[in-house]
Parts: sequence; C-alpha cells; structure tokens
Amino acid sequence: MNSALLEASNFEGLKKALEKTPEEIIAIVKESSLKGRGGAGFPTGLKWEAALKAGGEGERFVLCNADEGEPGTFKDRLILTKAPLNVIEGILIACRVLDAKKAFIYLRGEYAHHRTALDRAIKKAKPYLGANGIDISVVLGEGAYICGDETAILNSIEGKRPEPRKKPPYPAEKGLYGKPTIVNNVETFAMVPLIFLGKFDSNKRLCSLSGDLHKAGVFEISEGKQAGTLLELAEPIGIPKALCFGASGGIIPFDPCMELTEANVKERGAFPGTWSVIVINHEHSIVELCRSIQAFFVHESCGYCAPCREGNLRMLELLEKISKGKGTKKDLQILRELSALLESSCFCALGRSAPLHVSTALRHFFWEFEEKCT
Amino acid sequence: MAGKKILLNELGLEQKRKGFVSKEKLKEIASKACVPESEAFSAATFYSFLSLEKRAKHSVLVCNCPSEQLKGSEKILGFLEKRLKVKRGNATKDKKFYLGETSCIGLCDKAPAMLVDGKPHAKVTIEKTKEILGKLK
Repeated sequence: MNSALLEASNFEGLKKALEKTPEEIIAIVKESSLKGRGGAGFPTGLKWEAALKAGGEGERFVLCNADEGEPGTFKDRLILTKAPLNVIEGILIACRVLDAKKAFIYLRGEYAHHRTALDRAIKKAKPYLGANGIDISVVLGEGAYICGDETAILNSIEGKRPEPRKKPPYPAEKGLYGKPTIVNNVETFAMVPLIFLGKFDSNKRLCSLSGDLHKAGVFEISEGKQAGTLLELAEPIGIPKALCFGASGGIIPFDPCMELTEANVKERGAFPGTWSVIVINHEHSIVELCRSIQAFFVHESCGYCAPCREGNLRMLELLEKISKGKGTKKDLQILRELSALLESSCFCALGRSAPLHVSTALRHFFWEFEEKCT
Repeated sequence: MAGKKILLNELGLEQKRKGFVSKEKLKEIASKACVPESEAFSAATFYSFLSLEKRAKHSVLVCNCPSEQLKGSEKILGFLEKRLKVKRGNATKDKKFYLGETSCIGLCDKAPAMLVDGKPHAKVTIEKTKEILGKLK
C-alpha cells in the first residue's frame, strides 16, 4: 500500500490546491503525469482540461467511480477504508477546476458496508464543502459490472438502464445530464492531493495480487519491477504458471524475470488495466479458468449489442464443451475467430476486451486446449 | 435536477426495506425520480441485487470470481446446495434462503468469500459457513 496515502490527511493537499486557479491546477496535474487508475490510463490533466474547456451554460459535475468490479481487483476497497479523505480531497480539487457544486460517488453495491467510512469522511470535509457550496452524494450501485464503465454510470445515476453510451462525446464534454463532467476512479482521485504535497510518484502504482498465493494483498509496485520479485512478497502456493490480469486483461505465462511494464504485458497480447494480477499455479487448468471467466462475461454483458450478447454465449458453449473433453480442433478455430470478431465489433470496452482471456490463452497455452480436444 | 430523487438509491432502499420492489412501489419511485415507468422497470430488472418479487428471507451469495475459485469457492457452494437442499440460483421451499453466485465482491485477497444479506464474510470454510447459517433466524 502507498505509504503517502496512509499518512492521515489533514487537508493540506486540498488547501494548497485551493490557492491555485483552475488553469494552474490543470497544469500541475498534467506535469505530474498522473494517468487514470481505473484501467484505461487516460492522462488525468488532459481529461480535466477538456471538461474545463467544454462549452455550454449551467451545472458541471464531478463523479468518482467507486464501482471497482474487475475480478481480482480490491485496491480501491483498501483506499476507501484506509484513506477515504484523500479521495474526498481529490474530488474537491476537481470541483474547484470546474467550479462544480455537485459531486457524486458511485459506490458499488458489493461495497455497501464501506459506506459508513465514506459518509464519515464527507462529514469531516464539511468545512471545505460548506465554504464552497459543494454537495457530495453517494449513489449505491446494485450489482452490475458494466457500471464500472464511466458512461454506464452516467445512465445509472440518471435512472436509465445502465448501458454504455457512444463516445464521443466524452463525459468531459457531455456527461451527467448532458453537462461537462469529470469522471475519475477512487485511486486517481486519491493521488491528486499527493501531487500538491510533492508526494506523488508516477512510477509507482497499486497492484491487487490474488490467486494461488499465501499472502494475497495490495502491493505498491514501481514500473519495471520483476514479476518474480513481486510474487516472492506474496509467497506463491505451488509453482506459478500464469498471470491473469483480471477478467478482461488476458492471461500470460509467468516469467520471473519479466519486468512489469505496460509495454511488456501488451507485447504478450494482454492488457494490465488496473494491475489486478491473479496468479495461477501448475495445478490449475487454463481451460477451466477461461470457462469461468467466460461465464462471468455472459452474466455481465448488458445485452445492448449482438456481438457481445450472442458472441460471449457461443464462446461459453464452446469452452464448456472443450472443458468436458468433448471439443474438437475445429472448435478451437471457431473460438479464435469469435474472439477476433468480438474484439473488433463490440460496442463498448467490456465487449471488446471480453475475449482477451481466450485469445491470449490460445496463444500462450494452446497445448492445454489441444490436450482436451479430439 | 434539483429536488429529483436518484432512481437507483430509491430502488435500493425499498429492496433493503422489503426484500423486493413491488410494481406499485416501482411506479411511485419512478414518478419521484421523474423517470418514465417503463424506463424504471428496465433499470430495476437490470441489477443483480434488485428483485421485483420476494426471493427469500435471507440471501446467501457466494463469490465465483477466478481468485475465489482457485481458493475453493466451488466447495463452499456445493456444501450450501446440499445443506440447504437447493440448487444455486434458487430459493429454498420455505422461502427462508436464496442461494446464488455473485461476481467479484472485492475480497479476492481473503477468498473464498460470500455476501450474506449484504454482509461480507471472508476466508470462509465449511465450518464457518455452518456457523453463519446457524445465526440466521
């Protein structure tokens, strides 16, 4: 866990930021190289600048995405319990940029029990909220992975079916109720006050480590740390075979000497996203892992577009067949074709990343599939 | 948006209060949130934690994400199915328990985990599961 985050917040970062103009805040955030920590990694300063520059009259909003639903990810849970004030500070700094009077925290339903800590933090920030006429409301999700998508959240808060929206326009231009909206996730907002205290290091980030480990948990990793060194800290159970980046990031072989950089993960066909790493050991089957992840996507597809709604279902049928030892080599070919189809034709990021676990598993662990096919 | 209620919050409160959202209540909430009733229905039927019919008195949801499966969540589910005499995704005959699976609940570092009436239980074992069930009246 980030040591600077664990120091008790006394609003020093916020106080420093409030002395600046919106343009100065944006320049400082840009300078820090902070990128979104929710998965997509978009530069935060640029996002804020786009929202500030967006035209139109009337209200502007700030929205904190606390719908951390990616399987294997739990770093935001830790921030919400250990450092909720940092998140509130970050939200208030964003409010300053947009002169927004209303902010929302979209908290996933599975984290409903963390609401008390969040409410307490909002209460503690009252002097800063009151002085600037800002109101922060918590909206509680009710169990939907798609609500981790920033535009699905907008629909969810507006009382619509939470399907993702077409982008552009981006939320920074047309967000909540059609107004410019800054949307960032928990970790991103928590980092913002640290920038103003000179305690932010863009080379470090939080990584949720779970799976076949004795000491699963949240670790702070520096860009370029070796996978083997990281896993040693978490004490693997058995012999690590693969690293699975959440449900949507793909599966790659474990190489102790591999430096953990986005480029290295991408080179292997996967995507690190929020850096949630599920460690798989030699006793567990990659085919079974894919079947389980596929069932998850069938359950969580919002059903809006056909490739995602139908494609994921067909892929699950094939994986179940293969898993039972009834698959054929032709099934593997169809699986590969379906993966490519979904990656290129689904409407939103959920659908386009859903088949990544299959395409990377077929690339790196083909023999495990082949072994089960006739 | 001034004075408008957030549909999802209102639906969630009703679900917590009554264990489901009745058709009449849905209509009332939709009007408070200034959302057409059809839209409210469409939203209410989307979320896993909302239900338009009373499922059961208690809900037992076992997390089935990959990290949990690696740590034996399937064993816990299997035990619960036997003990409650019900298949996952269903309620017991006496409508006391609903047994289901849930997507990741963010407790992968403490797997296997489950949500019982919305309350998280981590590092569950069969023994611990028996205890939890025993406490539900």
